[in-house]
Amino acid sequence: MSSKQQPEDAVLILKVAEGDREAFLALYDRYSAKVYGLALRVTGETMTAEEVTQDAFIRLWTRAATYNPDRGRLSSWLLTITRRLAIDHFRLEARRPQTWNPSNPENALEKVADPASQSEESRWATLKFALTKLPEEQRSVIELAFYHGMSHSQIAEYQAAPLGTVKTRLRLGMEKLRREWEVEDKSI
Amino acid sequence: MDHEFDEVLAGYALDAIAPEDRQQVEAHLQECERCRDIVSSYQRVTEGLLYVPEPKQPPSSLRAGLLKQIDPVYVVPGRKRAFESVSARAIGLALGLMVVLAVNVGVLLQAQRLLDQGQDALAQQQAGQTAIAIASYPSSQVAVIEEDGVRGTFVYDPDLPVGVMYVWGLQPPSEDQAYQAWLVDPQGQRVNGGLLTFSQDPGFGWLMVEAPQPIAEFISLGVTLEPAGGSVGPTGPRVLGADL
Repeated sequence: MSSKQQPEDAVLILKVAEGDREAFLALYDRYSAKVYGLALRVTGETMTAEEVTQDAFIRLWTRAATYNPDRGRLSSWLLTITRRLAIDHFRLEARRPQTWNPSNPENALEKVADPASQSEESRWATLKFALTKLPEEQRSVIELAFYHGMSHSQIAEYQAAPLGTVKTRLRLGMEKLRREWEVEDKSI
Repeated sequence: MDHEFDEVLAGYALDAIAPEDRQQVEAHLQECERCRDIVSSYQRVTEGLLYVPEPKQPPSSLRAGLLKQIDPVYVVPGRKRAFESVSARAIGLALGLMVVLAVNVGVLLQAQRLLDQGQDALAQQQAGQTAIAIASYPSSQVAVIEEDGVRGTFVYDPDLPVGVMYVWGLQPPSEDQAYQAWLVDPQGQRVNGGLLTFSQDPGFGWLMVEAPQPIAEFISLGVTLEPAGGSVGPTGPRVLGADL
């Protein structure tokens, strides 16, 4: 994946670090949908997802000066914060994980983006599609690990599966996703 | 060719391995370029997984709520704020008025400060005595609070509806805000635990939590930033938390 960042993000975050509310709102308008979508995926509940979204942007506001562009894109930094906050909330509320169901009409893939259009959108769509193509047992362990912060042993206990089986499923699933991702990477 | 760490590298990239396994993997990565390359490729996938969930617009009220929050929130020292330009005459008048008032107001504030310090010291002493009393119970417990440079403890007896929280390293709230504690029951309901008080030492806060039922009936404790006087339910960002 290219680590090249939209120049405007780099400018905006510097302004946020200086206390610029307009820059903060620009970043909010740009990324709130992705942040809220991720929070909803993890927590499965709108009120908690709203709290997580709020917390994530408060952290962006108070920690803008700590963001280092050399370590990756701003959106990934923000979404990583979101994921951790969402998992904390999820654990705090002791909810039962709900894994994503690709056959749910609400989760139906939108029309695949034109390959000649924004490459990032097509990459996310490719990865999402690759996730749907995984066998259920591989997709579910990846979801439980990534979107619910569960460890190998926690997943094994939750699914009543042997620990070695969970590790293997996770590895096989991630290998398939990695192959799809690397194919997409080379096509850019 | 199979490698002994192949089975855990994906879990490592997903942050799904046990702490003891993590140490072994990290020690191995120091020496194995092959595994570092594999982990890097997995981490590119995990970064992509951040973007897989369908984007969804949050309620518009969230944006408005954030606007209200970001101004009074503590900002790291060294940041500059943009000030609107005002006329020199307006500044002069304001400064003059401030000088006239400052003397009288200063005297009044000093007297009030001494009174408040006395009251705070008494209340803090009472909380300390309560904590000592709770700690003497054979079933007393201590929950450790750690989050982003903030440390603290919550001393409680599961059978009692009271506990004492101490925190260090938390930035004192602005005048129109307060840190409010919440006890969370197994159904996820938040029960008001009270507002933190800050001592003269910067960053040291404490609270005697009084609950409607024994602490054993709650699963966790959280602290959020709320408007001064507190809220009926959590509305601000969560700043601390601990499992009970």
